[in-house]
Amino acid sequence: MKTALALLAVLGALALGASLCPYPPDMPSGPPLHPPGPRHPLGTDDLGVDILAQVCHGARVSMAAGLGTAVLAGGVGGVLGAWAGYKGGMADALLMRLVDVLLVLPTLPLLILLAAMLGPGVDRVILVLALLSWPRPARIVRAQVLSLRERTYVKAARLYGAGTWYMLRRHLLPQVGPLLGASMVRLAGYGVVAEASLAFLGLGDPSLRSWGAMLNQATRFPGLYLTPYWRWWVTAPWLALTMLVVALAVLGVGLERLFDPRLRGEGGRGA
Amino acid sequence: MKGRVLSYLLTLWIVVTVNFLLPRLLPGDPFLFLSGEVGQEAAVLTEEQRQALLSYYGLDRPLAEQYCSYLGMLARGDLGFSIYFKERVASLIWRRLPWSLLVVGGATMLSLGAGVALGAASVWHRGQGLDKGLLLGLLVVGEIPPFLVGMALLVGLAGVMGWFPLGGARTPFATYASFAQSLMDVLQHAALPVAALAVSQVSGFYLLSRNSLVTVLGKDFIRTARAKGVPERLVRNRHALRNALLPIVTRTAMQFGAAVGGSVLVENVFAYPGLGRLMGEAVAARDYPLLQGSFLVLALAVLGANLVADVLYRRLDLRVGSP
Repeated sequence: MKTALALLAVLGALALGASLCPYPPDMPSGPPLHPPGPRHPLGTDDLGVDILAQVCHGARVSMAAGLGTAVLAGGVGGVLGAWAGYKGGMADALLMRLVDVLLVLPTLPLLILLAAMLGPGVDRVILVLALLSWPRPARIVRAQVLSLRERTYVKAARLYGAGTWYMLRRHLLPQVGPLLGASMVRLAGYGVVAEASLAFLGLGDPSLRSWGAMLNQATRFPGLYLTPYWRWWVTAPWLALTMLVVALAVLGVGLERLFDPRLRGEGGRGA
Repeated sequence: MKGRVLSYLLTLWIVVTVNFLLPRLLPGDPFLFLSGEVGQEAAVLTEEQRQALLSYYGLDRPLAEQYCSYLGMLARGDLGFSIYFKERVASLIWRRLPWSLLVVGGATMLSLGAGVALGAASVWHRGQGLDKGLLLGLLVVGEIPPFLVGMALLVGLAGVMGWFPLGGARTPFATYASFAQSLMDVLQHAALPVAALAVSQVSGFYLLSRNSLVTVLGKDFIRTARAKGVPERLVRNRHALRNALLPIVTRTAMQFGAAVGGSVLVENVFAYPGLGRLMGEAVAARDYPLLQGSFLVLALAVLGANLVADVLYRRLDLRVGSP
């Protein structure tokens, strides 16, 4: 988990430091396909654009996709799940039916279809992905709230006439917070992968230099693997993407182990 | 069970309806699109010609009527006409389908075998270095999306080492002396896509077989078998493993569905001529009927696999069986 956090910090620093890069990510700044050297630490692509600059700016796109998906899907899913679990009855049954329907939808083909039809854009990827993936946190939170609901302090608060929204805000959501956080880290991973996948297929935002778009551009270069160019051109975005996804996954699994009562034995209410 | 089937029917209906509504909700219509590129002079069709075309294709009829005729088309297996390939979408998909089935099926089988073997190895060495290493390693590897694994395999094993072809499903223009030779060629081309998909599927099978084995090993009949003096090898293979495999059967159907999703990108990495590649080509050519057709078939495959998993789960596991 420490390694994962360190990796995330490094990639975050790349994203923050993107404006410090000496070369622009969208304009040629040297000879095309130049191998890594003192002027271009990671070399240049077939248009002579600095790859380090592209990787740094791509980090911003990936982070935005991950963060956006996590916050939106986690927020919506958390509130809906807690609400359904607390209210129970008809609302709960309907919501869970919706969850069942959404969970079996094939995400990637649907994302491709929507991106091709609606036009590219990271904001749309986030929105669609949030629409499809809020059921995961909702399920986890609902299960947790179902058991919290039977606690005496929750019953006491309800007897004092606390409203649903007040109960969610003051008693239930803070309790499920850590678990929801772990689930949101996983969601961030899905967001990163989805954005990269679409950009890799050529459905990314053409005005943004994302890692998936870099890979797409590189793989369209004829005979790429018969040349030495892939060594810097493909490796840099590939490594960045893999590191981010793995770091998020390890962090997510670690947090789940810490906070999930089913994985930790008795009485897991989080710290 | 009825509730589950209902839920799948609902999902299917949503998929079909989204497929129908999406192009109709967007601004513009096919004839605006066909009559000029963005920014070009688009005055190829006059307003009257456009109206005539709209009524010829039935696009001026009420939405409900169009919806019914769309459903009728689907029921007859008619998925429309590909603008780019100048061919019926259904026959295009039909031709590409076997390649996808080969890759997805192969990857599912490979990851099933590897996952169970690794899971068993992990449990027999429970708590030791091998177990911990496998657990952590497979958890991490399982999260890397298959197309990234595929790119690494492509660069390493095909590009640098030259052991495998760089793409496609067969050597172009090759003539085969025998059936075995042609089979070899097909297998060699399929190896890397299958491996890429399998690597990211293995962790699911591994985790499940490990958990399942641990549970079974704690059961009374295992203790009885050991007390009877059954050799440890038989206890493991005959008593434990066989009973632990039950949940894995349902998992296989689920993983098949997941592999269908993953294959879309993997096929594009390896230029493998399956359904996913077809979808990628449709995206590149902005061929909407083809895109919608391949989406529908992929979605059907995923839904079908999940439904099978659900049914098997209830059939095989008596504890969740009929009330």
